[in-house]
Amino acid sequence: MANPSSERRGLWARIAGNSIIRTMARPSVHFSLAFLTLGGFVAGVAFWGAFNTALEFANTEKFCIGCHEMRDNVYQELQGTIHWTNRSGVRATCPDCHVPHAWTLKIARKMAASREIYGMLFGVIDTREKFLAVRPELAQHEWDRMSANRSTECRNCHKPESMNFDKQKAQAVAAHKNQLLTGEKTCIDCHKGIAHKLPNVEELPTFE
Amino acid sequence: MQTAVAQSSKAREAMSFLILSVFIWPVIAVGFVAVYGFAFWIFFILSGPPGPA
Repeated sequence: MANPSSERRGLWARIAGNSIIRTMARPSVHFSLAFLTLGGFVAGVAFWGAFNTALEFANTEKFCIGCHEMRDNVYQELQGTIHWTNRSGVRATCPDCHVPHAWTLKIARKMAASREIYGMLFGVIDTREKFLAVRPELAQHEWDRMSANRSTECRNCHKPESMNFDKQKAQAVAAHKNQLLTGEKTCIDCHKGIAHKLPNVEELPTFE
Repeated sequence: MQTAVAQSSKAREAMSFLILSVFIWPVIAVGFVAVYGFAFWIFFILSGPPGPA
């Protein structure tokens, strides 16, 4: 045991010699295993609940439009589209389309949002002009992502097998039968700019 | 030997238990999830966006 009177102990020795640290590393003298496991169990339940509550809060539209970059640009444009109001009264909120629903991908997206925190802190798109200047690039990110996952977020609600082709226009029926049902294309390949305004085509990174 | 290793007081054990259960383990758990998420993000930057889930 470290000599308490020694004044020139290194940092590690001081940490290792700390009475709380030593208590943590030793078996309990005063508390039973039953009590300690119960305590860990209760703390675990509380933690799990708090974690999921926080994760769900970070997945609400209220949270998304907490930053004016989202509230003043893309959120305004969503209003007036069919994903905002429609006959059936079912609507899509930001995370329905922009946050993957699978847990691992959702956590990866949440961590990727650290880049958005950087953008907010340093005002990367804090004016409409700055936003419009990078919109083609930002839109392309989402199109690439949705193209790669074959429009998974769209298909969380929209199912080809539930489409009533009798209620679609002839042009849509032809496109869906020839390209969607054959697996050649998915939603985003044709339906771009349906929830927000399209960038100018000339400004797109893929425009030759 | 028994005299060198002083027995922890009950208050110190209770305090250790609280610090571990409400602070240290939750921070480690959140840190583990954050590292997991960052690892996938970095992987997707290199490999391109993921395919259908």
